[in-house]
Amino acid sequence: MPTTGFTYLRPLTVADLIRDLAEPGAFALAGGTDLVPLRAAGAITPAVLVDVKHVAELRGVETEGDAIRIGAATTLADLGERDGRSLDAILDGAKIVGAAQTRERATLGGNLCRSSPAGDTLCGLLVLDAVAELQSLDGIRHVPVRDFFTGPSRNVKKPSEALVSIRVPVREGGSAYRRFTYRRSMDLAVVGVAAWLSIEDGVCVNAAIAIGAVAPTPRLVPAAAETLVGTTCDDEAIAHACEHVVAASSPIDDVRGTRDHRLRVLRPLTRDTLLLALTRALGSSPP
Amino acid sequence: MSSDEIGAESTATRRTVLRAGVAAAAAAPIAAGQDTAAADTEPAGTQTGPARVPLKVNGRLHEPELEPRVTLLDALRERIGLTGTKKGCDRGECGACTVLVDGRRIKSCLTLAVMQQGREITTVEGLAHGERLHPVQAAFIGNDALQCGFCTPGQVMSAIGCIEEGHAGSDAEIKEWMSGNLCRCSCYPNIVAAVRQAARELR
Repeated sequence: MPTTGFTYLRPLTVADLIRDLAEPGAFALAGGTDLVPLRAAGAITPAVLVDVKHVAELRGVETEGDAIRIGAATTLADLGERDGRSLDAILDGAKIVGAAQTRERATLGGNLCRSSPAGDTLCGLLVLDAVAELQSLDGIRHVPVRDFFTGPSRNVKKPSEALVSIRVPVREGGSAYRRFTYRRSMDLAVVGVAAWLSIEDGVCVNAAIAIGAVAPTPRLVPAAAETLVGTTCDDEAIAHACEHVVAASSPIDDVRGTRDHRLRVLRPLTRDTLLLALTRALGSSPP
Repeated sequence: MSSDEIGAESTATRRTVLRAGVAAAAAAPIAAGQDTAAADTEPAGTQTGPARVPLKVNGRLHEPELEPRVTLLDALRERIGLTGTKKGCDRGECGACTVLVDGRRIKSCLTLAVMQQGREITTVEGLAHGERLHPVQAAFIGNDALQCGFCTPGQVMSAIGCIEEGHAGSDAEIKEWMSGNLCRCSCYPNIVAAVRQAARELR
């Protein structure tokens, strides 16, 4: 029997995990829902696959000070069962990736490290100002998700670094993520939008908007968010924000949609997402 | 899935078997497989090349010789001989390969067999008690929820997961939560009826 393929490693501690990832040609294997078919198709050729799912520190969600710590290997199914207002934009995305069977395996950390422009949790991580904790034999570093992506399927994480956790600051306000797909399930976003709005006495005091699948990476649109601050998020303010969102996008034609169609969808999708975030912001009581 | 399942005592030995080759890699799983308690833990592990991988399927321990690259689907069908689980797309899109692992439904084409050591794997062959069908199987027959039948094992396993999760409360919910299973004969209305009936019976 040919022995082509790879070495499979199953560490149980972060210390072993980062030692294993220092092996030449090592790839972190989380849920495998992307990696297993990519490897089988020859798109990646790992020498070592390091199964991160059995490291206890990488599993579970807990409150740590004024942030929520999500273990990188927490499954999207486990996340989706949560009822945490402060994570709404992330959970909206986690609940619609693939299908139920995919979400039982797929992880938040896997979605982040895959860094697809269309990744459904990524716009939520951006608007909620999440921070990735990366560990390697060289130490620990914390990278805000807004500085994480460098291109389609590319990011600042080195192969020898393990994504251990994702921290999301607990803040007031409401957030949401919505996407456009041709099918409700088992599809990838043609366009995705996330928004976070903080409202005091009916006036927006802080905001963030992120767009997915319409640029080389998921990205924040600060100019769009700024137009909402100081307004009541009325139709005019939202229309202004939509102009900035469209201006910040650079969609391409691909198998899932044309540039023109994406630009056409982006405006109403941004509006719908902002209105959902607004409803949630107005409905939420201060912590 | 909880941390208390993890056998920390194994960590000391795992480095020593690193790159030790097939013989050493094969020895650890066999030893774990002979002891039920040990098989319940999640040992640290290393595997390069073919080795015996302990897989608990439908309550029986199997130890097929597998390379790490073999998916759970291929291990079940081609190495263990349980061909009830079907290979449709082999890339996570059709749901024909759905099985339960520790009671949760997953697509067996998207996971490697080595990743599921020590887990309780249930396939369609493990549902009936003798001649007595599982209520979901009976409901699929009773509602004529299949034509060619190729997707049916996956549909049945997914339906069990859907009902167990509490996601079968309405037709709309069933459609949403069964959306990972495609049926090219398009028996969807009858599948929804079968899941609805089975959910009532199992409640």
